Order: sequence, then structure tokens, then C-alpha cells
Amino acid sequence: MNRKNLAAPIHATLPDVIERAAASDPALYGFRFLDRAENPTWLAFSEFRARVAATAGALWDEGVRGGDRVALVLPTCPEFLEIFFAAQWIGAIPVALYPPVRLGRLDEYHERTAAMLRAVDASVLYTDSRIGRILGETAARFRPRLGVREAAGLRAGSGREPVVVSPDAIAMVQFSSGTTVDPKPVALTHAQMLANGTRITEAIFALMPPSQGNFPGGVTWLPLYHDMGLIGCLMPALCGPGPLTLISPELFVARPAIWLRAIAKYRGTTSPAPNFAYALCVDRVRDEELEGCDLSCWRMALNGAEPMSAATLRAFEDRFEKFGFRRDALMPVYGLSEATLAVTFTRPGTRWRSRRFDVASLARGIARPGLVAEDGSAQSGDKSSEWVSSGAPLPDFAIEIRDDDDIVLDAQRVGRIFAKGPSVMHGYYGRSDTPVRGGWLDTGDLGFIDDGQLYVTGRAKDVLVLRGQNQAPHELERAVDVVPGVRVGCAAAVADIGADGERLLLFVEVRAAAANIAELAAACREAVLGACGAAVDEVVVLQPGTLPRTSSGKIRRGEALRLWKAGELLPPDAVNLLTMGGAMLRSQAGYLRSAVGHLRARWRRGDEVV
Amino acid sequence: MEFSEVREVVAAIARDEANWKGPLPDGPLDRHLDSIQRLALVVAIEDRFEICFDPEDEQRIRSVDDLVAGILTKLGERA
Repeated sequence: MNRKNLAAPIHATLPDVIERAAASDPALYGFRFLDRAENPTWLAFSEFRARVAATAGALWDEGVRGGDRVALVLPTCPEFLEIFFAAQWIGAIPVALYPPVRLGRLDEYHERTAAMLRAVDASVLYTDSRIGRILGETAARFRPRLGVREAAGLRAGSGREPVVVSPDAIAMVQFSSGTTVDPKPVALTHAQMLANGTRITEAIFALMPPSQGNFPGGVTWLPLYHDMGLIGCLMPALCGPGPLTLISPELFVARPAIWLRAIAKYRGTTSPAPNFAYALCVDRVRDEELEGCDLSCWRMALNGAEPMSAATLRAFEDRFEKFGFRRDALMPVYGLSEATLAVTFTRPGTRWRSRRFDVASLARGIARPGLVAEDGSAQSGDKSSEWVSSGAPLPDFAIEIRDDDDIVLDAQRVGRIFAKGPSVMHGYYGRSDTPVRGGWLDTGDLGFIDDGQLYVTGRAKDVLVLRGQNQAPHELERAVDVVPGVRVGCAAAVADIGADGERLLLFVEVRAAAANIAELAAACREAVLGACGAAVDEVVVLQPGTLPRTSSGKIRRGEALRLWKAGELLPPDAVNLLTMGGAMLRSQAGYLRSAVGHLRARWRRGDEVV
Repeated sequence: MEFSEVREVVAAIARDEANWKGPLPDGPLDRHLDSIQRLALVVAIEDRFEICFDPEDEQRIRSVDDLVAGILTKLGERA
């Protein structure tokens, strides 16, 4: 199958995809679930299709109808996939939500989950018996029309044929930029999901053309409620079709070697993950855990969902090259939920690119290349940092960089990243506000284009993405209000995206008579970790009045970060008679210069000067 | 196993699997370990002791001592 054929999706809806995948060889194509002991359970696509049809019948029997929002709070398991696709089978809309974090605070979890259920006006929530026992408090905050139900037993339904739906019907809702008070439900149609899934599959086929019915296999530990797991892994497996090996996220975090062993054992060719996962492998995987493993089959090690670090990419290559890992396998990519997932890709089979840019210029919005020695390192005296390219737009996608006035900027100018393409959402579910205008999506991210490549440098929207989790900055800021010595309402949480990835910075203003700075910083860290589960990388303690604010008094987080990076985040001058007098003089002098300039201009134009 | 023995094992797991440096914290776990560290810790503990915490059990675990007590309860149930 060539690229041209794939450019137009060959399926119209997700049930069509399931039907086609079900016709594949059951011995070769399907899902493989690994348990804690790494034992596989095989679910061929043909059997999967039968289970989806039976589950669809059971959903129907329980009162679920077309257009209903079917929420799922389930771990990685066959039931998740069966209910997800069964909902689509009968024209309902699946909404995947995350299960509670282990040893985490449940009060926040209940609040957040209820807010998401409310945002989509969920008709029913399916979960398992373990999680279900603690979801009572969530249900007390928002009770779906059909209640909270157990996933087990749904397979007992009589099989149904899929209902006919339009490719433009909503196929699923996935949450993006979610915060407790303002979760954003991204509504995606069948056509949008398939457009993105097809582009990803096309990229895989470009590197590894399927031959003799042999489709490249995927391996994933990514959560299925996350776009990178759901779209990035499931869609190519079903569209290909091809085998997909699934590991639970918690097993990966506890024992990252499982991921690499699965790739080697099942000859995985494609496996994506965020930057932190690659760093975790470098830190935690021991040689003896990979004894006999050959990673040369891994051709597409996609890296996305959070800022990338060149140091991490190099460390990963250096660390695992002796196990056959290829230096042309790492693929930095960029995407977001509002675009379904993928927007830019590093070209498969080519080595990832990075470039050094002058730090001071970047702080002013200009990407000026740094002074680089022949070996690519910074020259002596050069003050540049290394940035990893996220690649170029996928076929039929486009990127623009715009300033705050919506003017398109030239290459090497930093601005807001806008994306356009066949999988960009039309809007959020049930909301009138949308970041899409004229087909262009305001991603809320900052970046620039250099030599046709996208570089992501920061985030304009008020959301932090920390180790794959979205955090609202105001929630982190509120957490330090209780720390003695901190001025209430005078903190700013920002993500500093740099050459080493994303760091969480917290600017806090202290009262004039604040105690020990180091102790105060430690107390701030502890307060944020306790309240939000986020580890602050650096606490920057500031004098009162230092944080820049809008005319209405809101803290300007992005400006605070920019000033701090430029070394210009300074406390305001003390006001006394002398400084006030100086300011008045400077102001008067300014008016005078302005008036003289105005008169000169009129004189040059030949106007009569009165 | 005694409380102190289990605590020693938890300390070793926290150091080796959850990248925790220094003695175990006295206060609430979520004030000292981020979500990834807590996840790595609890899964490694379940593997090591061959137990499985339910979400309800975890609701009662706030500190290291609660965690140790929870492990002992699970071991007792198994015996």
C-alpha cells in the first residue's frame, strides 16, 4: 500500500476499522496484554470484534443509546477497549477518564473526576469493582443518569451489528488542558480520529512497508485515557492492522525494563513515550535486566507530549546502543489533544535534529543561532542553549507562528504556534469557547520555525504539563499561601522549557521580614507537593512587588519568566521624594523629546510650524 | 515480620525504586514524594511482599508508618 493511497482514510468510521481489522489473521493480528509477571494474554482482532459486538448489545440492554456519553474509569485491560469501541458501535460517545493515582489524595481526584463527568454530562460511568468501591464520593458530586456500573459482565449481551453513523458524528471526547475547575473536553469526530490515525500509519508504512501481510508491531505502556496511548498506539494498530502489546503504566513506572524487554521479545517496531520515560530508563534500567535483549527492531521511538531534552536523547542512545538501539530511531514529535494528536513528526529513519540558539535573543523572541564549534558544541564565550526540533508538519497539516496581534511571523521569530489540518477539532464538547478560528488551532504553545522545523520553546496558556500530568498554575500558587512569610496571592508557577526539558519554577514574594530564605523555599516545595503532588524544581524568592502584573492586578506569569531568564526580574525602586522627583524629571524630558521630534517631522514634511 | 523489619525493607525500596534520598520522611507521604515516586514505591512493595492494596486500603495510608501498618495487615490476612 503506497503513501498516496493512505493519504485518504480508507475507513469512514471506527466500526469500519474494527470490521476490517477483524478480517486479519487471528494468529498475527491483535492485542497482547502483559500482566505483572510479563505473561501475555492474546486477543485477536477477530475475537475482539465479537466481544465489541456483544458488549454493544449489553450496553444497549442497560439503556445506553446513540449520542450518550459513556465514561470509563478503567486500567489498561481488555474491558477498556471493548467498552470504548462498543460505545461507538451503537453511536454513543466514549469518554476515557483516569483512575485514581496510587497513594494519592482522593478528595482532589473526586473533585476533578466529577468536574469532567459534569463537563460532558456523562450518561453512565463504567469501572471495575476495585475502583468502583471508592467512586461513591465522585458520584455524590455528579451522578450520571444511568449511574456508576461495573464493566464485568457486559460481554454477556447479545451481539449487535454496528449502527450507521456519519463520519462527521462525534466519535469520542478526550480531555485536554484539564484543571479542576475548568476541564476542556475535546470533541473528535470519526473522520478526525481516522485522519490522524491514517497519517501516523502512513509514517510507519513509509519506513516499514507492509509486506506479505506483515505489519510492524507496536508496544505501549501509555495510559489509554491519554491521547498518545489512545490515538498514537491504538489507531495505527487497528488501521494497519498490526499487533499491539500493552503494558500497564504503573508497571512501567515501577519496572521500566519491562517496556524494553517487551519491545525486544515481541519485535516491536513502534513505541512512543514522553521524554521522562526515556530519562527513567537511563536512570533505572540495569544491564542484567536486558540480558539477551535486542532492540534493533525498534525503528520508531517517538518522543512527545512534553518538552524534550537533547541530553536525555543522547544519554538514551548511548546507554542502549549496546543492546542494538538504533541512533536513527528516536523521533521527536509534537501534537496535542485538540488536533486529535500528531501535528509534526521527525522524518522516520532520520536522526533527530537539534540546534543551539542564543539565550538572550530567545528571551527577546528571536531565535539567533549560537556560536558552534565544529563538533557541534558551544564555542567558548557563547551563551546559547540546545533545542530539539519537533520535526515538520505531517502531510495535509500546516504550522504558523503568530504574534499577539495574530500577525504571521517570519522564520526564527518566537510566537504562538497555530496548527491546521484534517484532524483539528471543531470545538470543545458543550462549550462555545474554542481556540479554533478559520480552521486554525491556537495551540497555546510558543515556538519558532527554523529551516522548516518546529521548535517548541514554552507555553502561553495557563497550564503546566509535569511528567505527563496537567496542572493549573493557580492551584500550585494557592498551595503556598499558607507558608509563613509568603505574601498571600503573590506567587507564580511557571514551566521553564529549556535544553534539559521542562522545569517547574515557583516565584514567591516574601514579606519584608521573612525568615530564613532556604527554609521558606523548602516549606514552599513541601506545600506544593502536598497539595498538588508536583515537585518544584526551583523556588525563586522575591522581594515584595517584584512580580509583574496586569493593569487589573493579575500576575503575568509568562512575563515573570521572561524577565527572570533575562536577569531583569528586579524589585521595584523604592519610592521616596528623591526618586519621585527624578521620575517626574524623566517624564518631563520625555514629553520634551517627543514635542521636539514632532516639530522636526513637520519641518521635514514642509508643514508650517506654528 | 516485625514492624521495624518491614520499615527497613520499605526504606530500601524507597531508596532503590523511588529514588528517595536519606531517611524515610516522618510526615505525610504526598508531602515528600511526587506521584511517580509514590507509584513506583507502592508497586515495588506489592511485588516484594506479594500483596495487593485496594484503593480503600490506600485511603488509610498517609505516612510511612501507615504504609508499614498496611503491609503488616495484608501479610496477616494472607496468613
